Amino acid sequence: MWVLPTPGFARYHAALTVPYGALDLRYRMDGREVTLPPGIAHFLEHQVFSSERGDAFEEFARLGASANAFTSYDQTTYLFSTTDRFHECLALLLSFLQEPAFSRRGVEKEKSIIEQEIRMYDDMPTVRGSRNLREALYSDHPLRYDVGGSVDSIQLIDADMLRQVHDTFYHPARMILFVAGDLEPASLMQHVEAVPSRDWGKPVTIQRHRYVEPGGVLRPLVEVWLPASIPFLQVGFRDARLPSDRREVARREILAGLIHYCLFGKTSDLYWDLYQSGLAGNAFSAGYEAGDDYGLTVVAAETEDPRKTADKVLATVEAAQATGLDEDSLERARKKMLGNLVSMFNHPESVGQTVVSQLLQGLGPLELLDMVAGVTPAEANRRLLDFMDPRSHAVSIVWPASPGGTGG
Amino acid sequence: MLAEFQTACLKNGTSVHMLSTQRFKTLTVRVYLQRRLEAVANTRTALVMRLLSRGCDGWPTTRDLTRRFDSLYGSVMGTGVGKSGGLQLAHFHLETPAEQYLPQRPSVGGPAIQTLGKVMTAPVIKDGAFPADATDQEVAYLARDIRGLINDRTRYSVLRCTQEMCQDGPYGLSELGRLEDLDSVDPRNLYSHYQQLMAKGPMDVFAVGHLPPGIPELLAAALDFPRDPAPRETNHVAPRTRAGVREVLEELDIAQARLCLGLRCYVPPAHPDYYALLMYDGILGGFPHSKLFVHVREEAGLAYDVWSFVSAALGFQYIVAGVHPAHYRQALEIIEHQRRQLADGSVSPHELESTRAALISRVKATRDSPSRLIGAAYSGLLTGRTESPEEQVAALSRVALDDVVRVAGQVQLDIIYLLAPEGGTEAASPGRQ
Repeated sequence: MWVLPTPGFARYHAALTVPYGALDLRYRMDGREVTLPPGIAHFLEHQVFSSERGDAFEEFARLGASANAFTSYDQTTYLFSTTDRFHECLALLLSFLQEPAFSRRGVEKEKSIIEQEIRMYDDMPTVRGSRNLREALYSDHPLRYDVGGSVDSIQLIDADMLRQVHDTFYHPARMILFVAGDLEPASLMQHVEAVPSRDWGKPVTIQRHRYVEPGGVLRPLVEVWLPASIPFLQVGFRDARLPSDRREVARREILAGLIHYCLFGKTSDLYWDLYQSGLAGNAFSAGYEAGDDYGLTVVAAETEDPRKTADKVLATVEAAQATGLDEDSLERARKKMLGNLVSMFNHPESVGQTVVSQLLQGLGPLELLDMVAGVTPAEANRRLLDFMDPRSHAVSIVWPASPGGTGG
Repeated sequence: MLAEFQTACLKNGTSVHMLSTQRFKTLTVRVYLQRRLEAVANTRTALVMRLLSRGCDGWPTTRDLTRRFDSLYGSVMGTGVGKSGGLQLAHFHLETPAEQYLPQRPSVGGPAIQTLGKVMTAPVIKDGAFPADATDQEVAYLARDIRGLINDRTRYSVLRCTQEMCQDGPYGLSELGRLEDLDSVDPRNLYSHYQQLMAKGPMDVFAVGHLPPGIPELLAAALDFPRDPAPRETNHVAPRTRAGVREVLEELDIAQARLCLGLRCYVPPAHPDYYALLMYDGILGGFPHSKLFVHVREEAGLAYDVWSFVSAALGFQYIVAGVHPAHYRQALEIIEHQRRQLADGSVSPHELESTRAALISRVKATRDSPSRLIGAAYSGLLTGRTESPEEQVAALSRVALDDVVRVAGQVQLDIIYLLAPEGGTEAASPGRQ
């Protein structure tokens, strides 16, 4: 349990994170192999908060709080914020996670709700383009699937499966609780201890499957046509080498942020060139996702000429790998990252998300700041050669199906 | 909210509202210029605000400017346009990390404010005009943004619904402007539009957080340029031009239909029933415990998202939902049934008190965020509601079920707007009463 005291703030935040996410579809437990359908972590998240003993959103609302939950690749997080009756809300959160009910009827009803959610995302050009890209890059790794799974894959989910995953991964010993608010950490501990807990026994040891992808990609280019006003491009690069441990994943994420600023940021040669030739607007960004067995850079852009833009992105990566990074840019990137880490403390819930993902990677809660301060140009240049492998890159384009749409 | 700020007046008539607090780890500055929302002018204002981020004296390109702010430890400066009822709001935004938490306590806030002043008062101008190449680029990018409104299906459906509700007024205009106005702009008339924008109309400045020493002087040096702050425009509720409910169906090749209902509430922001209106909206669709979420999503499983919100400035309520095209009638029937239930006073103590608690919680949390503080204070200036959070909590606590029912009874459905795939739903019959 981690506490961020925020004197003077009216709102309290609490987030309980389970280290079980959309990618956890294959693991060994008690000597047997478990394989699960895509979308199960997200389904479980829905099911936990719409438990048949009462809907979580309603119960939190009764206390004046607002609750939410989200599933990402490697975690599921349940959170609430409130200005009043914080301890009652916290007890409610802890109890909801302990005893969800999984009836057949409830699970079937949830399927139709999740199906609508999946269909809503399917209409979004960015979401569709992203899935096409991941399907082109990965043959076996569950990054191929959307976090929510597909309309077909969720049909395979049943109550027994959900109960089994819950018993395995929702063990209190695995969870991280983060709390922010105008409160005393010591008294909070007492309140948490006072919440009744079922007898969980010892957590079972889990060995997650480590996927090994062959070099190269399945398809270099995927195109699809959807109603939109402008083509949407995503260029993905897999890391050339995989990290050796979780701490290295954290370090890579920092370095990726700095390197992406230098190559693709708003002050980079590439962005400025694209902007002046009318090929980049506000929607041009680069992101990095990494875990034990994957590292993926995605450069995303709304652009009138996606092929030309994709070529320029590739050329930028190759040129940087040949000549190294501009040191002025790197220094600016570092200042910006440090400043952003300070500004983040205006948003206790963002601090929570950052701290928890650091903890899951085996870092201390604020070790990140020292890591950023300690980055050297030599290290950044070494890392540049390790990730964004031009031989393992793919391009995804969503073309507008009807020119200009009906807007304006 | 405004009472929490210290207000000073610059010689040019600009009000500077300051709130010094250690609660935040930043300094946030926001400058608002207020204009009436009008065709042609709205497009030009949107363009000028884009051009002002293209460079200024000392940092002549966007790239130079961004490098400047990035070097100030990731300070963020932005320009943009927004909309409140019949007003277009042009704004400049600046956020810098508090100096005392940075290595060696560098000077950040002062230099950032000086640079913001240059952005506003010393853009790159040659021979009485913006640079032609930058103008061409920004015209193209703005055109793209206007066309791109359709990519956000929810926002687009709300805008289209508003247009259908306000066919005779400016309220249905987008703050981004109109494609057809872009043909008549050139670097010279945009420069004169810029001069007008800066010279006339109300200008408000907000500064919140770790204020560097001498902030009033810094802001005065940056922003006390000659101008004439004409009287503040106030919003009027857009009049309704016809009776009955109109259905509007627009086709787009999508899998999920977007439904947007436009309703008229007849409660202007300064009306005593304003807090009852907020309660009504909250009970109906503002929260996950609300009637619409519970009955349309949780019980009928007909929608992933379904919620309502109020545009206080216009006195409109919107109900939006994402539904399977074939289920849209069914969803609409449940929504209408829930509205009738509310107007008949069928509200459980849980619905009433959960909504009150959630609204009170939202009000209390205003002080937790610089942008919410500034947003609340500025909207208080625009609507004339200047209550403190404590006064708002008291007003919400006093709302009785009778007040909610009274407001619910006077809300009228005006437009049913549906964005749906071709032939995916039975055709919406026009002119349904």
